[in-house]
Amino acid sequence: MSPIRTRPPGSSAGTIAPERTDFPEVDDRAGHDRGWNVVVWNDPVNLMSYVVLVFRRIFGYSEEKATRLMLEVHHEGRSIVSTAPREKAEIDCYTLHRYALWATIERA
Amino acid sequence: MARFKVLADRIEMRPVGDDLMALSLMQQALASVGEEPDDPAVGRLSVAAYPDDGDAQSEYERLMNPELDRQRRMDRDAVASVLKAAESGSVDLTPPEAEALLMVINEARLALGARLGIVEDGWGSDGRRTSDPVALLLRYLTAYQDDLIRALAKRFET
Repeated sequence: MSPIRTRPPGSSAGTIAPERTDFPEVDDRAGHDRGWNVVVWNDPVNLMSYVVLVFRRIFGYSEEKATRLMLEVHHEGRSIVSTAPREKAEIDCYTLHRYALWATIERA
Repeated sequence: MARFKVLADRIEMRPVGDDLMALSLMQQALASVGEEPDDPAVGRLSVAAYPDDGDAQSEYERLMNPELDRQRRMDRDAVASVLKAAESGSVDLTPPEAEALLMVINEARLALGARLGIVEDGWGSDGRRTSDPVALLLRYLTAYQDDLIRALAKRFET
């Protein structure tokens, strides 16, 4: 896939993480929690066809939608692949990690 | 001869060329992850779900990592059984076995890529790495995985 626009893999001794992007703080104490985004980040080793297959497998997306999301990852460096309540977002993220995709969770 | 043949309820895996040797080296590469201090492969296979929230990340790891480790061990065990059977020739892969093979190959490719310090696209045409055994294995596994993905995608459509 395209060059990583994030911190390179393996640049930290332990768990790796994409470079921080500053998002505005969201106050969900008033019940305004809009859910959680699951984000997939670009990685130069994963094959495009693999990423498309995984998106179809996990989320049941059509080939067209899976390809569009993969290309967003490829060109923009990241893509929001699902938005859900926190528990569901964590399960999605876990499943993406099982396929060794570079996935993180952030507030929607 | 194609490496994979898509059948109604399974995928026939037909080892060709150096496939079994490469897949054996793949197993060794994965088994060695973390043996060396500061092995970058460890980090690549342990992605943080909450990179900016230590507490949330700790809780996520507590809940998810044991299951992730267990599933990965099961995948590797399934692949080991498949490769053992493949020493005698073609093997019929069940869908879970094909999926395990897909994921294990990907883990290995990511581990190798991390060790090679690959951070940009275009590494496949990087001539400086043509003689590096790690790079050669990565290239081989990339082609092999591509064939498997094509077979799985075809099966997905049927």
